Amino acid sequence: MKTMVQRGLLSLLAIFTVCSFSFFLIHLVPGDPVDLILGDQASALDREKLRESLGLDQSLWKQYKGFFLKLLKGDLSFSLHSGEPVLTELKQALPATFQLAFFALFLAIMWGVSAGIFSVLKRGLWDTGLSLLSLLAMSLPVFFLAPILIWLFALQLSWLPVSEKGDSWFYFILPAVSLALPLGAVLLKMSRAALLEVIEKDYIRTAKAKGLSSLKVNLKHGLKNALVPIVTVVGLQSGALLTGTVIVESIFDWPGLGLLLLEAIQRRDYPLVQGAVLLISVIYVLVNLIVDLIYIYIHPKMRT
Amino acid sequence: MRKKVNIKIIIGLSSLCLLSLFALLAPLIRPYDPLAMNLSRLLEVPSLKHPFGLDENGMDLLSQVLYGARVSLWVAGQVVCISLLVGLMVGSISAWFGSVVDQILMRLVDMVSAFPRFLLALALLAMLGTSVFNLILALCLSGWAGFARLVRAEVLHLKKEEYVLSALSYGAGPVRAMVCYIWPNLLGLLLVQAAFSLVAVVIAEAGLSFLGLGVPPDIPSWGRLLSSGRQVLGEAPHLSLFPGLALFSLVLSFQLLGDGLRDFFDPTTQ
Repeated sequence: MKTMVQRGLLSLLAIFTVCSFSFFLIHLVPGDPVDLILGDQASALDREKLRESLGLDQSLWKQYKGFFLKLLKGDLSFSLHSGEPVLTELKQALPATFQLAFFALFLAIMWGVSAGIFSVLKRGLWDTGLSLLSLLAMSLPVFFLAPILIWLFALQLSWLPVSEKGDSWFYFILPAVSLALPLGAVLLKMSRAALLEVIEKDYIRTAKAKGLSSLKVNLKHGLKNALVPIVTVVGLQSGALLTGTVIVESIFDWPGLGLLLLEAIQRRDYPLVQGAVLLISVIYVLVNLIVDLIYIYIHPKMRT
Repeated sequence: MRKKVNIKIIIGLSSLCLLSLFALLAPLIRPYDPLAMNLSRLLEVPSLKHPFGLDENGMDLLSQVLYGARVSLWVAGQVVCISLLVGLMVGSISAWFGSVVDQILMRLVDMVSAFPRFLLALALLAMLGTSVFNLILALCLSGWAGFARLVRAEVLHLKKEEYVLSALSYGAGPVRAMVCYIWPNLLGLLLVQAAFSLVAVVIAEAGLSFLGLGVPPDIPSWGRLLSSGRQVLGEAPHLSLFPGLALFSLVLSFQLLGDGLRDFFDPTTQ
């Protein structure tokens, strides 16, 4: 229980940090943000209006306090480009990112963990081949892998559509595979190492001595105990997955959070940038919290 | 178990040396000025005169890829060196003094780790603007925390070792104990971590440049080349292929080096 409370407090600190950081982002802009947004030609009246709406006319402390008070009410102020509330824009983009990330995670676990189990069971040439494959896949940055896949499957073979999210699930395949291939490679390496370590343990040897079949022992007892490191790696990789979606969304014109963030950066739509950075980071903190709680749950030693 | 140099280290190190040599000698061996445009021959396919072909501005791709190695290695090398040194100092101080100092420094580490690394760098660059200096700054800010955590854990354990305690009892100060007796034991750990850190930083730099936020557009970089290649993937796939392969081989050599060094320093993990 104590560990859980500690872990929760740590997440609160993280969320506070993330919020403060996104508040200070606009103050990192060299020079006057108002000049950058409006350009040189703007009238003095427009400048004052914008300065007021961004809250930049107040003292830093007052702005900071105001930011948090508004945040508690779920108000992230307004997008400069569309005039919509930032929260509305984020809400519209979130499902597309979640769908993509979950599908990619699912594919990664499917291929990574099963290939890991397979290579431990088979050993020999299969093991070497899969290890080599995972090494190569881990070294393929997503912004090189995605163009290869697009060129091969969409442009040369015309099997799959390229960009923009359609209704058909076909549109998911290329972006999700681009994310899942390197991620699964990490999972392969880790699940292989975890399984190998577990099957050396005494209780596996005992189970085998009792006459249980080797496959059953490996899968039932081995996998259960190898689950802890595998879950940890999935959690650690969630950051890579989230930031990977930013790049993948920009390559495939996928209308999610990442694309929203990049467009906001290009348009100098600072409130929207702040909101998107805040939301992605908070998701990251929460995913890590959930993974740690699962970790504590399946690993009884940690529960004290 | 005796330490044995393995095949991964040899392959990783030699391909890294080769790539560094290309980067170092780029101004001498480049066939053309990387920024010289040839507007009559846009997107030309690879030929004997232009082995990697020409890009969308009619610039020689081989020369640009050679120069791209420079910026990748320069940025990644600096980021990892600075992150390592800062992490080493913070981790050592935190572990040595403990109590309040440790609490403060570790909460700082927690705060930095609250963000996905790439997003932190991306947000900072989006605000600060793109320049090589800002790029290095942003990647360092998100990079040192991992080293600090690692060093702290190891120093906490090493400072209780008998040879450290006996050095202290003979009158060695904390700095001497740290530098002469503790840090040498961190070498293997730090080298392995540095290699994997290089993997992450090279990919992050190229990714940021791909998004237009990393290296400024007037400096040839693999990320930017891949980004302009994406626009003309149908007509000129060679524009994506060659910078991508260059990036892939650099990342792979660091990956091999990291794997190999880990096996070298800790033979039990094999």
